Amino acid sequence: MAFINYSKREIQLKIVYYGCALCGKTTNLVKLHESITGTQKGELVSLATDADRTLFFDFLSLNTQTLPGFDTRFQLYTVPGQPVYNTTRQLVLKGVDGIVFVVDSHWDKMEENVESFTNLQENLIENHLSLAQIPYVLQYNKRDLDDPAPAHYLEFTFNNRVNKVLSFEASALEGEGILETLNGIARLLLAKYSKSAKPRTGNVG
Amino acid sequence: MALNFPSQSAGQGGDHPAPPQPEQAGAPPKRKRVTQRLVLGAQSDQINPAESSTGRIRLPGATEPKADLPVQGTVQGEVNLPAYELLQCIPAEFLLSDHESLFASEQAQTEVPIPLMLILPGLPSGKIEIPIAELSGYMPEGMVKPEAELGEYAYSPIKLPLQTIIPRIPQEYLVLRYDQKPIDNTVTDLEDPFSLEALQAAALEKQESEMSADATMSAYEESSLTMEVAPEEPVEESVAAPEYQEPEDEEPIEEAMQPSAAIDAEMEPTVPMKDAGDEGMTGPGPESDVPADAAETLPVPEIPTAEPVEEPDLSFAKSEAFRQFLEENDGSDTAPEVNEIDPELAVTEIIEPGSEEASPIAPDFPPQEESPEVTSDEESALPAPEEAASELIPQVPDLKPAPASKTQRADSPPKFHFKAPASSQSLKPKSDFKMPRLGKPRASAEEKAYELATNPSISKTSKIPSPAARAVVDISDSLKYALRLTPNTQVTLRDIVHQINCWPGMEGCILGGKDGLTITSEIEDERFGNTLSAFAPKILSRLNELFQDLGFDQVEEIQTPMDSGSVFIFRYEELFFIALSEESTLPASYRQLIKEIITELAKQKTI
Repeated sequence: MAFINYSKREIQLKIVYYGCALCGKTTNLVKLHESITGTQKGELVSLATDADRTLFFDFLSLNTQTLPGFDTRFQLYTVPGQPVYNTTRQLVLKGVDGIVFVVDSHWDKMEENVESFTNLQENLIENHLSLAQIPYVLQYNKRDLDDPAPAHYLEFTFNNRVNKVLSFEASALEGEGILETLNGIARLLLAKYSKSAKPRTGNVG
Repeated sequence: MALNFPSQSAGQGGDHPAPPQPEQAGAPPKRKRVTQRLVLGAQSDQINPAESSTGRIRLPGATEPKADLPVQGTVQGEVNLPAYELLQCIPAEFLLSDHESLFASEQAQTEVPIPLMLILPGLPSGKIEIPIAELSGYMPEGMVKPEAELGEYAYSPIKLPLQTIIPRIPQEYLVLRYDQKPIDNTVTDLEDPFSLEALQAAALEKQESEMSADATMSAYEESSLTMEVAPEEPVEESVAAPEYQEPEDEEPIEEAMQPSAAIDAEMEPTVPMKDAGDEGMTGPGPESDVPADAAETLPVPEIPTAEPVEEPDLSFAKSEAFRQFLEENDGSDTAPEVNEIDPELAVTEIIEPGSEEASPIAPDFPPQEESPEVTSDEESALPAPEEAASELIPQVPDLKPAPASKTQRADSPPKFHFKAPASSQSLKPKSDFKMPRLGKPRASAEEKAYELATNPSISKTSKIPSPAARAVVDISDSLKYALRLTPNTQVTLRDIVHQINCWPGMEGCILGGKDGLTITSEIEDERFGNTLSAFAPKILSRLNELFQDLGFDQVEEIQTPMDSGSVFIFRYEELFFIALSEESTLPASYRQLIKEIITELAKQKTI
């Protein structure tokens, strides 16, 4: 749920990058952090193990003025993709405003992708949420592979729900498509909160 | 066995057919009743529904399905897959021979038709699995063991290669559902919050601001350097004498002092400031070989000009007193020799009353040694030097201390005062000036606190919250890394507690000692935190007593659920760490890290 800090004239929106292990969630944030100027971003915090696997979460704060009179602060998180860290994923999902589901385009990862998508829905239920309530976009990552899964199959698998959602092809390692993905989810959130929603107010320091 | 129901309804039995009802004019036509035959045990292709029946229930208002889309239940197609690729997916224990020999056989090069009905249901799950018993029916003979031999493993699923199957499936089977709602137009019409152009513009703006900041900094450094050097250099080298002009045709000195655009255009970017001032004193005149309109065409760059602090105040040249002085000196319109001007005149300073160095030169009051004819009477008629100085030198606020208060002793010396520099004393830049009282007490307090916190031999107050919290602790770089702290940097307890409190789900953190005092904490309700810190040792000690009676080991960690969230108390030796969580549990990774941290902190001598 978004926070509005009236004293700072600031809206905080939490975006979580979700997906299976090694699908490129952290790479998304790292490349975003590189491409966005210093005045607009915060520090990229990452807790990774020796094997560079995100154990906890990555956090990147981006400022932009999109709603009149308010600075919008997008807080980007990623979750650990390994199945064993489901508790951490549930914690990170708490208070989420928007989700970027990162799909690994590698053929061998299709099953994990679907399991992760199912896990996302289960964890949202744990947080009394659902994909029907939370805006989300799909990112088909690793399109630079030699033989990636075709986009129409990925659409058939992940974007075949009642409501069609935005989907983006990306190569996070090359920095392609990551900004489009962020813009997509940001547009969804701004459209949602500029329409009728009343975000939770609070004095966030 | 198939149960075939009669195609007519009970009311329309063959023996007693109902008489045909005449159609009434204006009445809506009666719907034709259709009977759906239920066939049990029949194959799907044997089912022949009635002509007008759709065979499915459709609610009113539902979208009509597109006719060109295939219905998955009626898929009749097949997908031909290479046999050797299927063989790769089958474990060796299900094969009649080993993989190598089967790959070498001719049958491995053939294609195996697999029905789409077996493949399509698995697509949304990201995998296609077929039981080995069913797959063996499609495989060439002599490859897979028969079902009888497979026994209990007959229904083991075999995962088929997705990358081989998907490209062979016709795309009409991989279309999205027909009733899918499109994306809202308000979303697609919105502008991107993070457009590439905006990012590039922001980056450019940032780069320009950095460059201007660098230029300002370099100018400041350059001017600081000049400030130190200028008093020791001959004055005529640093400041050129202004050419005095008659009032009729004189130009404002401020304008003349501006460096001309033409000259500036020829100047190097790193022209020393004194040169800039020198050139700036002479504007583009008739003798200049620079076109007169150059100043209009060329932009005036921002060059660090002489600052008022170090630039001599030449405004006296415009004063009436100075003109009078010039007239007294044979009407010469030449400016006075600049090297006769004491550089101290150029600086706003405090001149103590009675000081001998006060105003050695004033344009309207020539020095006494230059006018030996002055008699004592005339001398007495002259104003005092300090009065003359006050006319020329801008008034400065009285920086002397305020009169002594009633409680202060009248004869007590002023706490501080400013002393005017001697004439021989070189001028120092203002940045070197230090207020005697400001900064020192605070610095000494910090030093004292640090000493108290870091030296246990002289202090037993290590439990004082603020000094200990600010004390630098030595923890390993791996823990710093885990806490998102920069390795090889000094870390305080406050930093550690803050980093832990930043974890999601944390509501507060308290680091306390055995005596129940808080060392440092980060909690919304500090009073509650202090209370909790005070009770934590008692809770654990009481628990330990009871556990000892039960024969258990010492309790190092307890968890207590609360109304909203839970409280965790960790202990290691004399150190307690209390974590308030929004959740009923704390992840194992959190607990492990906290325990490692307090273990390492407990080894610190400063705590």
